[in-house]
Amino acid sequence: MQGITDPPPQKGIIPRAFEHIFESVQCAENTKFLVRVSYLEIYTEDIRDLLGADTKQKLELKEHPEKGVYVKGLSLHTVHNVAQCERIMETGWRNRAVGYTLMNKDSSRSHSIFTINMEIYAVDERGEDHLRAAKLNLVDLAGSERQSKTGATGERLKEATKINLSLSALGNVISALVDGRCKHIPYRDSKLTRLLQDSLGGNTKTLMVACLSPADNNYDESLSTLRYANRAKNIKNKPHINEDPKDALLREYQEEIRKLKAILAEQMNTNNVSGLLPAETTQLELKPALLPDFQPDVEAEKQLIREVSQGA
Amino acid sequence: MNTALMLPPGTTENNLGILWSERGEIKTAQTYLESAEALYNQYMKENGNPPLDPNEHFMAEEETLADQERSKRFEKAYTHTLYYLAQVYQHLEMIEKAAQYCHTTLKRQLEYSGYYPVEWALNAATLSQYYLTKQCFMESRHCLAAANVIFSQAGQVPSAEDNETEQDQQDLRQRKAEIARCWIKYCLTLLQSARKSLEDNIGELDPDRQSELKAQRKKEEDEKEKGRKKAVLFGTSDLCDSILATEEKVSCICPLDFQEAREVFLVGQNYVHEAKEFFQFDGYVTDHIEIVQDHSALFKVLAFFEEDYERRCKMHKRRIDMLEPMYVDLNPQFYLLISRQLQFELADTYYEMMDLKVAIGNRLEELDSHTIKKINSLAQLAVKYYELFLDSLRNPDKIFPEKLEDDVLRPAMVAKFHIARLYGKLITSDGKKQLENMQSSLEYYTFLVDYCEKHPEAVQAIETELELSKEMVGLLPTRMERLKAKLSPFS
Repeated sequence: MQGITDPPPQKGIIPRAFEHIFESVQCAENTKFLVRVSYLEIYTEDIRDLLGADTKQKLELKEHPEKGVYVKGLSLHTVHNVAQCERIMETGWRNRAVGYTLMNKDSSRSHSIFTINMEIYAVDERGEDHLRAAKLNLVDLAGSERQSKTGATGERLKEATKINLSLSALGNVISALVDGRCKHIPYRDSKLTRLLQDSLGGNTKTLMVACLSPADNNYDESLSTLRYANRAKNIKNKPHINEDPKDALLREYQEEIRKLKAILAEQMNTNNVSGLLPAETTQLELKPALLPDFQPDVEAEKQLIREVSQGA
Repeated sequence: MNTALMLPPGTTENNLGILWSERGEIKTAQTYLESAEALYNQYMKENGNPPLDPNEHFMAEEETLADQERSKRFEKAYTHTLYYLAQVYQHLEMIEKAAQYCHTTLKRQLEYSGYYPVEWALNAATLSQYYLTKQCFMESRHCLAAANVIFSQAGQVPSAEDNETEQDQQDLRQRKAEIARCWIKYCLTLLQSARKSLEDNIGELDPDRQSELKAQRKKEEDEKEKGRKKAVLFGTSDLCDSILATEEKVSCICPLDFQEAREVFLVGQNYVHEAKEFFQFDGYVTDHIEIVQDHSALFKVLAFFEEDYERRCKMHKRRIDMLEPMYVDLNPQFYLLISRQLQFELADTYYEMMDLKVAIGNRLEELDSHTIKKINSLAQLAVKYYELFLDSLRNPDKIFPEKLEDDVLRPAMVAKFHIARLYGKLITSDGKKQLENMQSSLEYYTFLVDYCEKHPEAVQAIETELELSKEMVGLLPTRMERLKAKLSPFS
């Protein structure tokens, strides 16, 4: 995400985003901008403010019926230029947690979200002012990236010999049993998905860019990123709308249709139908010819009526 | 076997299992872990005394562990074997086996006191949700009752540090509410499963089925369950007793009449209140709404058991009363999906109420003006919410999409279909008005038919509705002609 500052072509997506934003800010006329950033980390389902006064403090994820999902007490920092952004990013980066336990890589992975909030105040040629707001979420799903490549095997072996491991991931195992089956799972409260709720499931369009490394020694990270991207693509917060069609209704329908048909059949017999449906007369007359032993029974009527309606 | 000469059985296999699963070779890991499990069982059968801990080989004579400590370590290693196996089975998608091993792991945690109460309770509660998906109510209830009992231990342990108490208290309250939500799902699923077994082909209570199931129940009176029960029982003596006592508060067999259903409902409702205490609308919008939706679903399924139409109608009114204010408060931009769910549910509920009122009206000699008014206003409200739902599907330019997304296809079509029928249901003595309603009705039916003609892949989702719509499209014009003829006899 951050990349390397030098040489410039190896810069990551976050610094590039900064540059792009401030370039646009400088080019725009008759507009005022307010750019604010926040940086948070989700580590074992706890949210921590990486730019706050106390980075160890757990923050709460709250929802407001009008404003949607927000993190209570998350600090917002106003930035004026690229350098300032980079400094802030650096500060937050250093505050990230690194954790790794055996066999539950997923739960120990820490996600971070760098959010750029932009407000644009523009005055158009007619002198009317417009206020627009936008939000850019830069989500870093790394985690494995920060485990040092060298010596990882030795590290793992050491861990593996420690038989007294905690069973802390048991919850994950159990909740995976229920996953996708629509019951309540207390553990699976994915804060990440929640936070991005309005980006993933609301009225907004979401563009997801997955950053991959072409190097073969980054194979694992590339794979896990692609996996997540694939999963995220499928996140749709499906509106499983609970409807159970009442079959009683269908029965009633059949009754109603039978009645209507009876009326119709009656009219057919008295040759009234041509008077009622003048446009279809020709078709109706053709029909008996197609069905040699034409009887005005209900099934045939039904067929007839269908064709009439399709012809209409 | 000479205990002094070997590592505790299973230790090596455990480690090899972990190693291989780390490398992504789950199958190989499975082999090692399963052999660790077999070794443990064999060792316990043949020897029974706890073996030396690997560390003991490097300890001075006087430092060696007491038998008790040794046994504890040995058992713990075995618990880990089971826990790893649970993960391996889950990765291999052997869900049932994974669940069974999770259950045993939990059981052993209790036996050897290696657990944190809150975490354990939450795990048990989560596991109960798995059993629910399998319709194993007895197991599910046992997990939940155990969760309740173990959770109550957590509250008793006073927190060591005062500065963290508030956060901890908050956490505890949340966990408690989470367990309550699991109970709600339990009650709801139990009732819904009962409803499923009792309903006839038009979705009403089938009295024949009811008496048949009642007779059947007497016969087998938990014979089967007792066998299953032994396998899942948590805890020993005291603990077990209190878990069983907790269990007794709610049944684990499907209720067969209103009285039994009501008891389950009341338990569920209590947990709804408990969960709502923590998950308040202000601050936990999504959770709060989900809970209220469950509450509404509880009422809905209870209404199924109620024979009296008036009282049934009142239950649906309660659903409206809890859902409507929430819907009004919600910003549809941020809560689009929830808004849609609520719109649809409100529409459906009004629809159901209208149907009930019609049924009540049919029993009367003659429809009085009050009932007619009521029916009409309910139908209009149902139409209003279905329309709101359909409007939410429009794109920002307010145009209804050419092609509907898969996940909203059926709801949207059903909404159209229901609106069509609702227009047909409106009662009016004014012929012109009636004609207008029929015209609207026809338009909605036509939409359905046209849409399916344009998108043949949609047919599958709404087969029955489509067939009926086609017939109505064929029949309605004739009826309208007749009405027209009646209205203007001289033209």
